[in-house]
Amino acid sequence: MLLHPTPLGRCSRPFKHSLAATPVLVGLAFLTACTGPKEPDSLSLPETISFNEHVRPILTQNCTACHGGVKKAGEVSFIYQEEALGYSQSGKRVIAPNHPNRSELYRRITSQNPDERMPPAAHGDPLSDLDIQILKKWIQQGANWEEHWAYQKPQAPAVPLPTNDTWSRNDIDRFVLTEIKKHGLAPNPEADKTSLLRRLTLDLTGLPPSIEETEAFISDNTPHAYEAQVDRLLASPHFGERWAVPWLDLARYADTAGYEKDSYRDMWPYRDWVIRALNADMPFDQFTLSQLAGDLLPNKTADDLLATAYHRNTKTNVEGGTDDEEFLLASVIDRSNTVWQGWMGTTFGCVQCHSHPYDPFSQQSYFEFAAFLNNSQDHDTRDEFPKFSYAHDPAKREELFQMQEDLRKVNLAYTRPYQDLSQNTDWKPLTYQSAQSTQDVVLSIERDKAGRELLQTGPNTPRGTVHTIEASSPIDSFTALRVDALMPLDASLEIPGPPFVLSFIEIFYENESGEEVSVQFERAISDEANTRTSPSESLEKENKNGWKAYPRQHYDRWAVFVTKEPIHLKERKNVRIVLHNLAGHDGAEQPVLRRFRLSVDDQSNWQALSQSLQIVEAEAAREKLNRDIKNIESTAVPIIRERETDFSRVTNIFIRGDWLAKGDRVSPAVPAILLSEPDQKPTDRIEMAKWLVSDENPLTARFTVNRHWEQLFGIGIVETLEDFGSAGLPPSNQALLDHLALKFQGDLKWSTKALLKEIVMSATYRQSATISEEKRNKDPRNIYLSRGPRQRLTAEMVRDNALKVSGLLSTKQFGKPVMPYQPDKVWRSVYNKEAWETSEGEDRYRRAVYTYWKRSATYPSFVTFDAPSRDVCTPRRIATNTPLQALVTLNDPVYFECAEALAQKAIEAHPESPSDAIRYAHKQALLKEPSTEDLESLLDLYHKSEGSEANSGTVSKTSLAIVNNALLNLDAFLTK
Amino acid sequence: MQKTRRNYILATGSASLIAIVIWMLATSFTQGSESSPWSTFLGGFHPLVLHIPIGVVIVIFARSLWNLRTRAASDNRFLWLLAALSSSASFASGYFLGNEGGYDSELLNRHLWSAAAFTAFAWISFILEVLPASRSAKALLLSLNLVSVSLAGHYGGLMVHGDPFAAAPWLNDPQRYAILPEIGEEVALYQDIIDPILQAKCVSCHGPAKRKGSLRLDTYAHIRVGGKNGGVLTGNDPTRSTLLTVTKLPLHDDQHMPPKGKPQLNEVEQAAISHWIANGSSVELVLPSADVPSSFQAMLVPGYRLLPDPKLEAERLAKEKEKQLLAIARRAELQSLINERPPELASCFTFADQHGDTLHFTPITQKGQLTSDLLETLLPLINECHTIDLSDLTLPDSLFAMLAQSESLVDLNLSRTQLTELALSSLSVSPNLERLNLFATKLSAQWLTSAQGFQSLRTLYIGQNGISREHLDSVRTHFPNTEVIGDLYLEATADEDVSDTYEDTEGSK
Amino acid sequence: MNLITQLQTDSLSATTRRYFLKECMAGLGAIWFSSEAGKLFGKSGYTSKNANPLAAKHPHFPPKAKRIIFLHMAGAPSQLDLFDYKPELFRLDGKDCPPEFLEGQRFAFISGVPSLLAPRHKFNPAGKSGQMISEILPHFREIIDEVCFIKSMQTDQFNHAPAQLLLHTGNANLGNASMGSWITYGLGTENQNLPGFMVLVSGGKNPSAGKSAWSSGFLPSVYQGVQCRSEGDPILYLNNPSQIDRRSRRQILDTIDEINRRHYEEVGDPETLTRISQYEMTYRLQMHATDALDIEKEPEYIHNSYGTNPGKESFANNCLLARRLVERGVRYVQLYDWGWDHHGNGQNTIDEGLARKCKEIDRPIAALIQDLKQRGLLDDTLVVWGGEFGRTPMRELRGGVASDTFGRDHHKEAFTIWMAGAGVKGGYTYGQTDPFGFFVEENPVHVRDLQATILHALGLDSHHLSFPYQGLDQRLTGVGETPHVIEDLFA
Repeated sequence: MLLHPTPLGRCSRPFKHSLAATPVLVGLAFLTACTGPKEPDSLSLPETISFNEHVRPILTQNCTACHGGVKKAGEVSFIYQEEALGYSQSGKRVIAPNHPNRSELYRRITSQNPDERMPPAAHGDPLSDLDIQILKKWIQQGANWEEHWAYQKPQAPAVPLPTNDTWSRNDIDRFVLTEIKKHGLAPNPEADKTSLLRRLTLDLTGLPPSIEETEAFISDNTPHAYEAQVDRLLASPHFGERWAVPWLDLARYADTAGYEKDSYRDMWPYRDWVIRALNADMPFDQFTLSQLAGDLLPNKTADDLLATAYHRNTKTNVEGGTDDEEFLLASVIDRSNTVWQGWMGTTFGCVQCHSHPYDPFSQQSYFEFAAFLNNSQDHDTRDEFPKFSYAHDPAKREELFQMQEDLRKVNLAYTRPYQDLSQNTDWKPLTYQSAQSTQDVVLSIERDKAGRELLQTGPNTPRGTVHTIEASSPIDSFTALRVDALMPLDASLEIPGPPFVLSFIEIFYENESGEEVSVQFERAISDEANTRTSPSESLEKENKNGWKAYPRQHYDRWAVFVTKEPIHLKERKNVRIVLHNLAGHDGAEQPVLRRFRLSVDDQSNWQALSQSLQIVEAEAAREKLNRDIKNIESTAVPIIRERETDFSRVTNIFIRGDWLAKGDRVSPAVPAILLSEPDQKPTDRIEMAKWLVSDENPLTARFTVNRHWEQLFGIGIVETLEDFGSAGLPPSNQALLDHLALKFQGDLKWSTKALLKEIVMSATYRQSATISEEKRNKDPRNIYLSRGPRQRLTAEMVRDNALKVSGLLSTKQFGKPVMPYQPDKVWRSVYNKEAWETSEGEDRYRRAVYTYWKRSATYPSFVTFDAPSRDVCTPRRIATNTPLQALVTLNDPVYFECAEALAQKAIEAHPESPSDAIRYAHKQALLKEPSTEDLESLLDLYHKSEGSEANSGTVSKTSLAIVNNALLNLDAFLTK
Repeated sequence: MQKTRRNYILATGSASLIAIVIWMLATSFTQGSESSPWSTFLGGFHPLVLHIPIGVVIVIFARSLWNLRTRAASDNRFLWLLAALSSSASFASGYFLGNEGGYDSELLNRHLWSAAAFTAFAWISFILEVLPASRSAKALLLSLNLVSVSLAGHYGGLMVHGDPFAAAPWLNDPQRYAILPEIGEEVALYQDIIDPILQAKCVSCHGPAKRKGSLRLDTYAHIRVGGKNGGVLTGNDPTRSTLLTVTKLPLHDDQHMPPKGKPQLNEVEQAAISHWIANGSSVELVLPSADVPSSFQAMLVPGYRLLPDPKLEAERLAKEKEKQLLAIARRAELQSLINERPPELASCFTFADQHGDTLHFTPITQKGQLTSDLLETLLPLINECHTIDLSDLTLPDSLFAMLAQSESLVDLNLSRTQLTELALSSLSVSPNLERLNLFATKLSAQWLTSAQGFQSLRTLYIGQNGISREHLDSVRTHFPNTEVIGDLYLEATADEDVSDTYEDTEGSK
Repeated sequence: MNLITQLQTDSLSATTRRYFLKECMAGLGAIWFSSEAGKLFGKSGYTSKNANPLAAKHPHFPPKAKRIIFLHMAGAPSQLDLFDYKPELFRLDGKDCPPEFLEGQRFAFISGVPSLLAPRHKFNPAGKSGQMISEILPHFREIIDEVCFIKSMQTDQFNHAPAQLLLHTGNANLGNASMGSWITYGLGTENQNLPGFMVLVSGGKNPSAGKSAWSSGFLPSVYQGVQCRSEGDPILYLNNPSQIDRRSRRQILDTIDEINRRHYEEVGDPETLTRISQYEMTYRLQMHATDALDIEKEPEYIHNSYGTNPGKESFANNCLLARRLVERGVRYVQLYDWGWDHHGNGQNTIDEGLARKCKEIDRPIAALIQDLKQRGLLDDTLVVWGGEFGRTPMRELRGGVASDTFGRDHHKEAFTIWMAGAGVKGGYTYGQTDPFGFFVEENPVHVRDLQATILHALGLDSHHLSFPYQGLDQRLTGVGETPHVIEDLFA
């Protein structure tokens, strides 16, 4: 009112005074307006400010891009508590608890000066008034910092008791109902029995129920009818086949090695192990231990060792000219990232090059964790060494496993005496007179730092180089020759040296009668007991293989060649030693001995040892074991074995993630933030696995519960399964998640089946999926679970469902991957002769989980239904809805074959009446009778497509197949 | 008289003695000659001591003014003694400080001599005070003192604090350098070209007033010194000297200088700076105007504008703002018109980008259903379009008459449509039509060589109309300033075996 | 509305609502508000309820091109034998390679000290610009004035699969979205009856990177590249089974539609409505894709011009198909021709091997550029030609053993690509290499800069084209610092 100017003349005196006061008031108002942001209505400002709930989202959205773990503009970072509450480069205090006006943060977000205001104009708008008030109040209340919710151990939340709650069946429902009520919604009634059973059966076994099972359930009115179905389905052998698929996505399982050639390798026994473990409801902590550290378990079984094939799902790059060290490290990094992504939903991969942009993980902690996994024997080689023969016949599995373990012990027993003898023998170095090599390789005699003579090649060492060394022996006879292969000067443990393979060794000397004779060797022993190829192969002339360090040399190595009988040299004691390096590969650095020393010894116990009981017995045992192992039918599966201690690898920080720029060395450790008791820090792979599933770890149980929840409800309680960090979405109901996580770890003792039962028994799960207008607007994506889950079938279920319904499905389990129909010319990998031969007989109709999985050319109809290529760990398949999917189910011969098979079944049941046949087919497909209108539409389609064969009395198969083609493409058929 | 003559001799003797001593000191001074610890220590007192004589002289001056009014003479002997002593002390400490070196030699020289003069005059004034001397002599010496002290003070201040006037607003008005001053026959590259550019476009943030990145470009010395992250000139290499490279970065790069929104450097100015750096970026570089490379000859033209005329600039901005608002209004209006149409027809219309009002009519998905009468209903909207693609459609007759008037039509595609030459002729008056595509429209060469108008046409496509090479040339002569594109394809040559042979080469890895 | 579009819409409308409210409060007036609000609250365009993820969207700024054809010579063609003319190599043919080129360098196969290798074919000037090119590209000469060369390309990888992935998905390891997916994600496509991103392969094999080179990676699979095949269904499962003709397919689709609509009334799930529209789309896709991919319909002179080989897989056929697809509004057409890995073994020699491959592509490329130009398509279609890296000036010395055939090893320090159309400066060369063609001497262009330039040509800012995944705004050009758009290429 005051601001409306009125003509002064006519007003009364007091009014004039007030009018005179107007400019003053206006001035005052203007002043208050521009001095600071106006107080928002206090209603929306929470009483006590929680850092995680209110403050962190503001910081993550507006600040951490430049003030985070990577970019610390002005040395200000909001990731770590000490930095956020510390001083910035300009010396000002970023946040002074209880004093907003003394906090530079507050001054900057409220400053009117565009140059100073944060966030800077280029990066975004100024913070909203509410945000500013929240930050101010938080600082006033002492700026108490909280770690991100996901890195704090879950505390058991009190189970809420909503008022007059007749709906809840278990605790899950009580948590859900509270949330539903908070948003002014009400839960849906329970779904009808048929839809509920179809949803339950597809969710637990990946297959639809049969008509008999449906009718049995409908007629069973006992109170525990539903629970009986749940137990029946949990016990079904198909349970493991359905629930293995999400785990194989996480483990990035495939039947090929990836990259350019992407050729086949035997990994299927691991896939079968996962299915068997899930069927046997192996507790998740043991499931974890077997896969992460099965080879280190004290009394490990065949299955434990097989389970470590989990790590070997990494890709092997055998493209010509690739560096095996580089791609081994790529595999080690992929294994470390996958443990974090598959167990803890944390984007640890970012931290390879720099500390995490949003979450408190430093680059050092990244490489400390990778150190757990960086000491395995595999080295990105074409033969996928080390492998483990896994017997096909279950009865023989343990026996075959034991034999292979015994063989390793025998090898140790066989080589240990020679190694001891070699270590405490006083080897006499030969004195070299001359040395030269073929293919104009320079071979020179040099001295090492200790002044000892050695032989060194020039830079160019092509494949097939043969070294010839004339030397004289300090002693006049010798019984053994030792070759020391030394690390090249520029190589180090950080970046190992090039490989060598000694294909063949010959020594010539002058015997009594003056002829030049070659020495006969009895055996060869090296510093490593269990090797890929035995050193004795260096004694076989035709065999290019032999004693080697391949594909890289990490340490100085040695081998001893024992002569059959002592060699006596004539007075000048000259010998000529010829070393053949005939092996080659398609990389740049060829496997040739580059830097080595030769020495001899004349003790007779070399030969004596060979006759000793221990060696003879060991040799006999070895022959027998090798024979027995060969005649048990088995498949060799790549697994994990630790390198022997004196050949172990070291792990260094990669400066800016570059494997060639090595920072300082690190030892295995877990990030401190996830350890409450620092004293019991895990130091090896088995302790790390134990930590992962101990209640020390706040993430594993939550992540595992969340991904099972997502499989059943379509959206996880934490929607971004792959990122539990502060950049991911917060949980929609953290109390429910923590409750289930603690229960899964506690009472249920990590039993997956018990967890699934707990969820499917809940009223939340059993709700009908109809979506009312109100719910479609208020909760379009069903985050508050006010209705039952409704989602499209996964790629595997689309296939299995169609095969089961049309009766084509083969329930044969396990075995080599199969090749159902696939259009040709889909496989065109370079330099790879493998071709797709469609399997014959029942293998053509096997469940989808057994389909041959080629990374660079995944089965096309699966890819169209969002299946990942499984190059990397994929926690979540993002569902899409595209015309190409429609083309698959309409035109793919696999699905049309199902339509024809279903037509055949329907005709057998009702040869004359098309409408009965259609009703039969509809019931098979959707487990219920068609509505009258639907039946009418289908009949109409049937008659239209009959054309010439109309009213021939019998039901025409082609027309019925056309009707079934429509049936198997209905929205109701493709969703659960 | 004897006494006065003796006094007189004594005064001149002592004065000249003092003058000689000071003069000898001044001439023997060389900056940065030797600095013993003592001289640095004593030199340190110079800033303290030098202010005293200034104060004293001012007091004396004030008293003498005051005395003028009251006609009384005052005894200033003590004050003059104090002035002389303090000025000598400050001269001595200044002498030592000067030895340290690191000062601008020219300024230091002037400061030295004015200080020496001041010290001498102070002694002389004292002597005149002691000995009886005429008032006029005293007044004269007082004024000499005043002049010399202010000179000494000024140069001293300049050396240490820089020129206070440089920050004066009238000096700093960038417009002062809006137009490049007249350049004679000889071009002093730095003074005549480089410095004005820097003054006009850089000094407002990199000058005495504001030293962004602690970098000053207003004087040659400061340019050599560089800023926070090092020198701006690296060797004689323009591609590595940041003085130039930051001006060539893409606009959205946050290192780009001058910052967005400020007047930018154009190629000519960049070429000048590049030439200057390449030739040693020195102050003495002078070249006859004829030798100035063509790349920045334009700057020699008198009246070359470094900064746009503010008046014109304001007008331009206003016009642009108004144009923008108009465009927004037009876009909103067009959008509402489009929204009235059914979705499949509406999706034929798309805007060129997210804000402008340039509208295109490019039906591709809907080509099948666009009958000619449906097209007719869309005509008013099509008329507003910049690019119109009517290929493969059956066209309503009224189309061409309407299009002929359209202001916004620039690009018209009529390929593979049946159109009559008569209808086409009506298009000849279209004001802004630049691109016309008549590919495969069964046009005759006669029409093409007889068509009139199409004055703004820049490209014409007449392929696949069976027009022979010769006719094509005649069409080209008929449309002199239009690029006419006829049939373009390769003849099949007999010897080419065009089949591709792939036996499965077991190639290398 | 599927998950990802919903996620984007929420975040988009949340930020844009605040942005627009503030913007219009600052006085842009009600007009702006009504039109933008209209867009915001689902009246038209992006955020309408059943948003078709491939609907055409506005570019960030006025584009120079609407579509792109990328011709990738898988295996890495030798730039020194085709375009980057080096007289020094001719002079020092056979001499030892200077040591400074060797130390600190890692090669796929070369070890020891290789010798320099001059091109085996003569070079002569071509076009108005007089650019020196090899004699084994006779037809290419005729269109050289339309072409702009970049001779200073660089990449980080020297193995095929990682290098192809870096060029096409911005990351040397697998799992990322390809350039075609990013562009259809950013711009949608003009013709809703055809896929937005199509892939054509020739040369007998897929490129080393396999299907990942055109995968949608973390983007929704609707943006996946659709591979066209020369035998059987042009697109997988496009044709109906033999028992179903077009008429009964129409009837089947109508029946499905009826039943699904009734099901929607009952359950009310919006996904059902989306599925109904997708099934409708298949019918149109079958008709339009079959027509677009049938090159028989082209007149005789076109077949002769391209040198096509109907019914068989050939690069010439793929070039003609590329023109037909681009003419019908497909946004991104990607061609791969395998067989350019001339190490000198078997058929892959720098002399005959390279000449044979050039003959396969020379005529089709010249015909494609001319055909696009005569139809007025070249102005808004960007054509890019290139490999995943270059080849060494030295002769291949595989495993240190000299071979009698001529070959070159992989080389990541410098290689050449060319572009045409979309207002690119014809007859122009950007960037130079040293006299041996080993290192780049002037204006280096990293693969990321090329990607940013291509996006720029289509009106997209490589920094703003991002997708939230694993806590990062993922981008084609990586999450590091923004690459440098080479504006110099465009007139």
